[in-house]
Amino acid sequence: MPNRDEEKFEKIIDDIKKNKSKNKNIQVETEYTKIVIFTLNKDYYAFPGNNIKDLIQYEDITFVPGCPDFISGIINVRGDIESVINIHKLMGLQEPGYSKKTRIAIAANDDIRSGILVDSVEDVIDVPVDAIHPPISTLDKMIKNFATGKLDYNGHVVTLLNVDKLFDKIAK
Amino acid sequence: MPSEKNAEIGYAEIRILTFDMLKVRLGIDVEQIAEICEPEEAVKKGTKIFQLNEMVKFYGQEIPYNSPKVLVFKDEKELSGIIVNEPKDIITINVHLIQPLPPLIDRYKSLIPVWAVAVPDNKIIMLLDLEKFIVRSRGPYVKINRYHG
Repeated sequence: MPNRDEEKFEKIIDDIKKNKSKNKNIQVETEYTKIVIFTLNKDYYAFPGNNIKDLIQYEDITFVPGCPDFISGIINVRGDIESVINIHKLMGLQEPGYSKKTRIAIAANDDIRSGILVDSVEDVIDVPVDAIHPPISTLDKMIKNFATGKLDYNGHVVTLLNVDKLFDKIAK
Repeated sequence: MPSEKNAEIGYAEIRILTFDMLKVRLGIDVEQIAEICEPEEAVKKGTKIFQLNEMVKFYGQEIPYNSPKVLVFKDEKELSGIIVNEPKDIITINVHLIQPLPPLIDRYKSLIPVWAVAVPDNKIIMLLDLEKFIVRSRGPYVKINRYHG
């Protein structure tokens, strides 16, 4: 015959088990989004992955006489002529010149397709959507025009840029 | 000689005169050019001469004219032309090698005297519309630069 303490202990264990099943966390599927992380003047930025169609090494950009200075010119990408945007000029940043790491990101939305010249491409990763927070309030005004969020990457603050806003600024 | 025409599809080929401005290769349809002459000769005839880099943004750099020639525009209204450095060959370009300006740049076409891009042998040649260039130069707010030789 179980002693009184044993009954008491069994009841305690039963209660603990009941509480655990009540508090059991329900696993929710986390939504992820792809981003392309790049640098401009050693600061980290990103484009939404669905806007980036290709990443190519820097090649000579042919200047188009008469173009505004935020359009660097045109390049030949496998037989197709693409424009190249000077994003430094657009965001009021100093232009560092070209290096081995310089890349051209071919970006597109529903209406426009263009290359965008960046200092380097650091990574292409999937991030949880809830890891993206509003952009920091101390961003420079010219950059803020294009920023839609911020996230952390390997200790760096990454500013997420909106490709539609970039294209709108140039196209209008 | 006029450029070759294909009755079914319009122009099959165009002939263009190429020349370089700094690192950019440009081309003009020969059908727009009445003649190519020395600057002194053009001045004697009373030709209004324009410099490309003074009409459109062109790096903002001075363009050296080592071997200048004037391309006189085919126009009944007045004698005008642009001065270029060392015109090179006249080459024939199949229209299949010609592409329009990318959409983003095309939005600025009122500022740009380039009408298309030719890509023979993967090299880029920007095709200038000489008429657009000369007509623009006749606007009231455009500086006219006389070449004095």
